[in-house]
Amino acid sequence: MNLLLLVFLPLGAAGPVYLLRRYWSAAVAASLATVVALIAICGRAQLGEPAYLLGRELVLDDFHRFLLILFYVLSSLMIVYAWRQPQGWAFCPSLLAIMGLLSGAMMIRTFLIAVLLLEMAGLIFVFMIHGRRPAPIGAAISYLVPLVVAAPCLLILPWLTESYTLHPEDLLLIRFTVIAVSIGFGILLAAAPFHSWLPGVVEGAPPMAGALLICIFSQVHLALLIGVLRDNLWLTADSPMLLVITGCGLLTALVGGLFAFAQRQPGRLLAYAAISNMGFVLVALGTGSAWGITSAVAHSVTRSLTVLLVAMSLGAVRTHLRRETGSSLQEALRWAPGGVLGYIAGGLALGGFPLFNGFATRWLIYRSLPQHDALFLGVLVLSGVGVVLGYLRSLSTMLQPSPEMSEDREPLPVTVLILSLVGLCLLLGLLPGLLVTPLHDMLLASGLVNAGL
Amino acid sequence: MDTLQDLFLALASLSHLELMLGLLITGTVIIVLEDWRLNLWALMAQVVLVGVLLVRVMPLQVALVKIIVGGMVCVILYLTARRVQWGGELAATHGSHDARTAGREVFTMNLWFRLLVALLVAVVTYALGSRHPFVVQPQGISQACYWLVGIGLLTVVLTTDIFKVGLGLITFQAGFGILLATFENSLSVAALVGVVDILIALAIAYLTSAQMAFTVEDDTA
Repeated sequence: MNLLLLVFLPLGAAGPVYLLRRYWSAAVAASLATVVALIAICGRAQLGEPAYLLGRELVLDDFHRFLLILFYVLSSLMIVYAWRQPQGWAFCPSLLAIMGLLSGAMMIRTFLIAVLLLEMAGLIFVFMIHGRRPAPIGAAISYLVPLVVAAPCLLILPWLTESYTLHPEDLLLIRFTVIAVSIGFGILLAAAPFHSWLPGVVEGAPPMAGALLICIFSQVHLALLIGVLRDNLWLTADSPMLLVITGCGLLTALVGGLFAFAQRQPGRLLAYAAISNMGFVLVALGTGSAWGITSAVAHSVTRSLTVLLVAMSLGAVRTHLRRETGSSLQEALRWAPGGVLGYIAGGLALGGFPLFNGFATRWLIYRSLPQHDALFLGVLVLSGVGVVLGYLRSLSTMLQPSPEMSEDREPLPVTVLILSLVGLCLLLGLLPGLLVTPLHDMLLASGLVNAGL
Repeated sequence: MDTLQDLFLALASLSHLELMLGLLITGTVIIVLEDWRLNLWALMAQVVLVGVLLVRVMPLQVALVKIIVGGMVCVILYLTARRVQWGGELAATHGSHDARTAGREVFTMNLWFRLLVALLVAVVTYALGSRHPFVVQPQGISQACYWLVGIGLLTVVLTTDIFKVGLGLITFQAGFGILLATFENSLSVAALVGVVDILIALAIAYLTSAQMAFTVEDDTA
């Protein structure tokens, strides 16, 4: 199967889906069919067989195929959810266009083109920010400006790395490269101190748009960062890059955990919990070891599943609680059972509570840390506790009436979706090997993990 | 295309000092003045001047593509401003908003303040471009890049209006485009950067229209 289909099929389908937007079920069915076709194409694609886009090589390896299929599955879940909980007319067409561009960014070998495709996908995301109700204009600006500022930092990276290869004695080039990587990826991954744009966007945008940003965009950025570190080994050997990533991760985990504890608004709380989890991912990546990288990717995958669960639950609870329900948990469970259970389970998983998937991958990260590092362990545990407490405290706020509220019960497909995700989070928590072992093998096969970076 | 090429070649005879002066004026107009028509004219002039500057580091056809894309961006923004009747209803809305918030501002970012900021950026740009040029030849490239990036970012920082933020972002992109052109001048990259520019303009157009529509809805409610 030609890899170009993964790029152009969703881009081509976005137009007809946009035209079908008034017939919502038809638009959802067409979007779902496209994503299912993408899963089939990606599953059958020949690994290592190149295709060419704008004269640049596209290649798929084991690891990137796994990530792409994960993105397509997550997108299909979002589309099914949007069928019963509409997320705005632009959601389905924008999602398809974004998937096409992100597929291209994941497969293309030229970093410069990958960043440009990523920036295009990010700009299309802007059309999702206003859902059925208007998002605050600040939310759109606070997303657009960091995106446009971050992209140039990454676009100059090939120039800097090539210059360093020609002039390895130039220490200034090392410094500029570390700064460019730190600012560019720091902004895109919402790592502290560049994290402040994410809470506003997640609070203002529809739940599935926020989930897309955290679950899919972040993973693509992470995959690109790992690719940069693999392709420029001098960055890990001769520069303080890994130290910067570790320090940034520690700060991100701490800031995310503390702000999550203090937060009452569910959207912002979700964003801070996601930021805290990104801190864990960066700390694991910063170790540079084989298991560190595996645990970083595994935690990033579990983070995506859990954030999607919380975002779906948040949307369901906001819409399907009766006004007179007040803050009675029993009454809330009658009207939005999936939403309430998913919110509690997702909150606990995001905080790394035992039995859930978040705990399993955190444990892996703790194990991959250098021995006897009490500071690391203390900060990471504190961050997790902050998130769990934040979710427990926010439960009563969640059950308050909201402007989106309707007078009907939560639809059955939404309940089934949410409970399935809860089940998956528990399964991966109890049997983490189901995810971690194949992921480690894939990273080894793709050459991303050898004896570390 | 030939006429455009001839016109362009005639403009290419401008010295780097004249081009820098032109960019200084257009950038200052964008950051200082509020009138959308003047801002858009300044943006269009800036696109042409950047294109003329780029001919010195990239093939003529690629530079022409950049100018055509810049023209399309200006058209998108012009149609948006006309559609939301900027200067009419939107100005009235902003006027009432300004009146409400005037008392709460720490200090007013009025015309003189913005002019002072533009002057400061010009001085910093000159110093940076002279002491740390990223390319020595042709002259003026580094200064133009620093100036446009700086003034674009400050335009974004000094306003809360989404349309003006858009002008700032496009100016920033133009500055960065100069830097990118010095090490990557292939047509495919220029085309993709052009698509990014158009998407930024479309995003700004969408957000400006949405802001206006929601404001009108709120007023009606």
